[in-house]
Amino acid sequence: MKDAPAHTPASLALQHVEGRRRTWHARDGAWGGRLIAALLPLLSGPACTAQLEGDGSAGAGTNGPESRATENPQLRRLTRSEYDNSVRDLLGTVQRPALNFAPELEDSSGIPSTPAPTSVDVQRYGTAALELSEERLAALLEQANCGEDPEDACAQSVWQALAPRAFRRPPTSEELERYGALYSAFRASDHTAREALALLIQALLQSPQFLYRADRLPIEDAALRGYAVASRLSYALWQTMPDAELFDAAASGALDTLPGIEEQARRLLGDARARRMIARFHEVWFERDKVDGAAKSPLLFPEFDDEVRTALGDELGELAAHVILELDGRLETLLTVPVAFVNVASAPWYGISGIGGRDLQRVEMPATERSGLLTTAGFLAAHANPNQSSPIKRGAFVRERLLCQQLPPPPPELFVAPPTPDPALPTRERFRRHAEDPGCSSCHQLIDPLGFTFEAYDAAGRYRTHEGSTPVDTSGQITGTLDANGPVSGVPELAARLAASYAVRRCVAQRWFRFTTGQLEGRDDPSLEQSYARFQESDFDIRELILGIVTSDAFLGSALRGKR
Amino acid sequence: MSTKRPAWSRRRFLQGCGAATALLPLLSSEPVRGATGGFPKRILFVYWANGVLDDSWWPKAPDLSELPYCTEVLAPWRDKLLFVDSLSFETAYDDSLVHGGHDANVHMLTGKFALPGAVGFDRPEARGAGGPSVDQFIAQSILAKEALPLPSLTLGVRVRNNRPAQGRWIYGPDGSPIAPQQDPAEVLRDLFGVGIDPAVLARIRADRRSVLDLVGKDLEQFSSRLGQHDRGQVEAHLAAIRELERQLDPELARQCTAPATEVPFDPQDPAFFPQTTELQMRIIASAFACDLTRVATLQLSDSGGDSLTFPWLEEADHGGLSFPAGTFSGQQHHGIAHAGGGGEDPVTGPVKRRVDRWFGEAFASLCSILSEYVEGDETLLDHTAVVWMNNMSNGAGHHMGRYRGSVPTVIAGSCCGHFRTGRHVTQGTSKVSHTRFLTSLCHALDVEVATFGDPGYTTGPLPDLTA
Repeated sequence: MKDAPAHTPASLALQHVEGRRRTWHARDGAWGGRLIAALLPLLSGPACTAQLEGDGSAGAGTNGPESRATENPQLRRLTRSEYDNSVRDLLGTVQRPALNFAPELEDSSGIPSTPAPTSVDVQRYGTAALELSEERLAALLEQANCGEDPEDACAQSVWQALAPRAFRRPPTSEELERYGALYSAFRASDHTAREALALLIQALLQSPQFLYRADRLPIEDAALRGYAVASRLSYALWQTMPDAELFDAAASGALDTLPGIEEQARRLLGDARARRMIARFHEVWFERDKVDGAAKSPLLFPEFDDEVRTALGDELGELAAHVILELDGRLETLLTVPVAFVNVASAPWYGISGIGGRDLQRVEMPATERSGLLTTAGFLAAHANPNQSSPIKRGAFVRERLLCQQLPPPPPELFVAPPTPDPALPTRERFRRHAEDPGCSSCHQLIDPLGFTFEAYDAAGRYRTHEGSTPVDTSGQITGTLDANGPVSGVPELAARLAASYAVRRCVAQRWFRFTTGQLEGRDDPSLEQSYARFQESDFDIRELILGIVTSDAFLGSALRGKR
Repeated sequence: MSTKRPAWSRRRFLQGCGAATALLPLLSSEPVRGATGGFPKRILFVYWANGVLDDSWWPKAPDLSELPYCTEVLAPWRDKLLFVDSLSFETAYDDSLVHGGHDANVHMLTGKFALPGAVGFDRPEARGAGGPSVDQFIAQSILAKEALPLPSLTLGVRVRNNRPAQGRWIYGPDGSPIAPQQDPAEVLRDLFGVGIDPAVLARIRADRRSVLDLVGKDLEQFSSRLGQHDRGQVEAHLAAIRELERQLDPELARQCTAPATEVPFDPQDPAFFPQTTELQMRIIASAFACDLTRVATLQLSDSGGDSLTFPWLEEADHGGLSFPAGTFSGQQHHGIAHAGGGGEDPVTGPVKRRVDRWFGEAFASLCSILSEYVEGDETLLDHTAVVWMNNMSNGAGHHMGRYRGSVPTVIAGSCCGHFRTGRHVTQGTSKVSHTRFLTSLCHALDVEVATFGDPGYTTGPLPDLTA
């Protein structure tokens, strides 16, 4: 390896290995080593094997499960959608003030994190609180029968009723005293009871008890465990604060037992409010942001506008929620069901006519043309160039997002530019150099043969049988997996093989684990293993996987210590 | 919005006062201004992405008498420009960046190795950089010497990527990414009070201090329950509250002229990218002129620029080139840079050049806006270092200066005579760590450091930049 010529990717690996601080290396989890052993004969150089991160079964964390962040998950503020949903449920507003907030950061599993707030962020919280209190004050007073110019006792009862819901737990007596003192101070400084109440609401909305997910912290007070569980469940499954029934379950002790937690989790997961969460998971997984930003050549696709992008982007979540909430919920169904959800704008991209209106409608498709999420036109268009398909983007997506293998970037000293589209050459001919140049092939043989199976879909995701006058060739190859290797042709076959493969099942379980718990799994994490076992026992029903995760130690943390 | 902002004058200044109140500072006080040389030094950083084509961007003559296609639009300002060649993001090359130059943001102004959470590994850390970006460092140094209403302004236009190393380039003291403010209407309201009834402001401000005081107590209580790992964010929150309380101090108030009284277009619409950019520039110029702050950053789109198309170029003058209809509305910045960044292709190369020329036009208009503010015998531009920097040297191959090209870097304005402008400075044939350039910027603002960024690279300022 050290003798490799300077321009090959092998020298990249060398450079990184000798890098000053961090190095490229395989995550040497349980399966990683075996995977690399399985791959080695395929490859002309070590560059890509050195960076494949396993097949999804190995933990990405380098520490054991005991050091998993379970007991100390990263503190974070509410995300923007959690904030908007929470103020909606707390105050009854239809405003979405968090649209103006700084976006949270998100990793590729959809785990959000919130950076340290700045004075700009703090000012935005203040402005939103001011506007919300002004908007909702009259309605809150009316609901409490306080009248427009309330007595102190009535005004105080309003914020005292809001506080336990805003904090997602009963306030401490100290907190009640502090807020009560502020109310008195406002009254003493020439504010009416109504004004003082508005200011108290503003304070509640800016308090750390509201803005931070304290339910993720270790729970010291046994009496509060149920509330922390309720909050974890509702934010994980609904992206908002608990509803009345869940608060009641916390108060009654029903959430102190695993069966009680499972019962509530099942209720939440079966509720329409879970749709948004399911859609969100799949939007992150299938990179909906790239659908929204997909640029298409106006010469080739003049009608590919924002309305089309929105409809195609919404379809990802709609299809997934349909499979998980209304069909059998199985991974195989998600990846193979020949169904599209289209509206008037997006139907033509599927070759469908006779669809009117803006609402997405379910349409059965020929099983030879469409196969679950991987053949949604939005995904295909987003993973393509403006003027031609992209076996690179589609193949790399399968490698990274379905097989959970990390590909390295092109080496820094290499000059990379995609071939200029030549209408006379079929796509795979344009990328022939990837297979022939040893500097490219070690990585691209892991990417392109997967991507070529998508050639029946053009740059905008339309089904095609010919590219120009040449019939499309959808033959390809699955490599680098434990149990799915071999020739494959077309996405329906590819998707069926992937859905039945251990690697993809592990990858999906890992993604749901991270998304739901908001943390990485530890190595051989027992919570992930138990959840995976439940997934397997249910013939890979995603609902059972989610229920397994939210009843696991990783999710519940210390909440159930000694309770099972 | 006004299209032309005349030179600073007391009369115009007073005309604008009605609007100059807000949730932030704002009482009347005459800004103290001495003669030339007595004006404060400012620094403004402007970000753009995806590299350039060397032969159509870098000057052809050391005295800038010959500027190629992309930079010839800067010719009127050549006496005030310093092209800084030979820079390489050396720390980035030695770091394990997952997306090459697309992750270089986290190195650009920090000069430090990234934290693992920033560069694409599946880790949820919120922190990104190994330290503060140089603008924040300079801002804190200035604040330690002088009480300014705002430490710095962090603005952006069409920043859609939210990865810490790609969608951000400004980082706080602990390396936390700082999101740019992208809505000019919000900045106008919070800085200049545009759209707020001044009559209700005093009361809002007094009430806000009481509420913040309570929230501060809650935060202290909350923080005491946390482990060390989680305490950092809450302490930063508390510091932000204290900072906002500081900003509410009437003693700090400035009287500023709002650069606009409304935003008559949708800043989110890509078709208005140039208008939004210009308004953000005018906001920064106004804030500098009345000494609200002395440090600002402006991020134009993000690393990649996947959501940035250039529809307004469809109708533009192309300086001798011509393009088929639809060329600029159907392609995004990322795709343009990959397809045309090689420069050889007769179709895609010119598109890339035209787009880079537009960024040159935008930078020229920034020079123009800053020079509209007369300060003594000179202008605001002369008292500022406007640092224009790209996140890559060449976008087609994600290069960052070591192997192909150098990081495109220009300083406009001499920063009160500190920099010797009107030149293209190279460091011979060797590449130099950009940490040395960052060190030079600290020195320009009278922040004396031996070196900024990772001290494992050649230290000290870059030679031959100063007067």
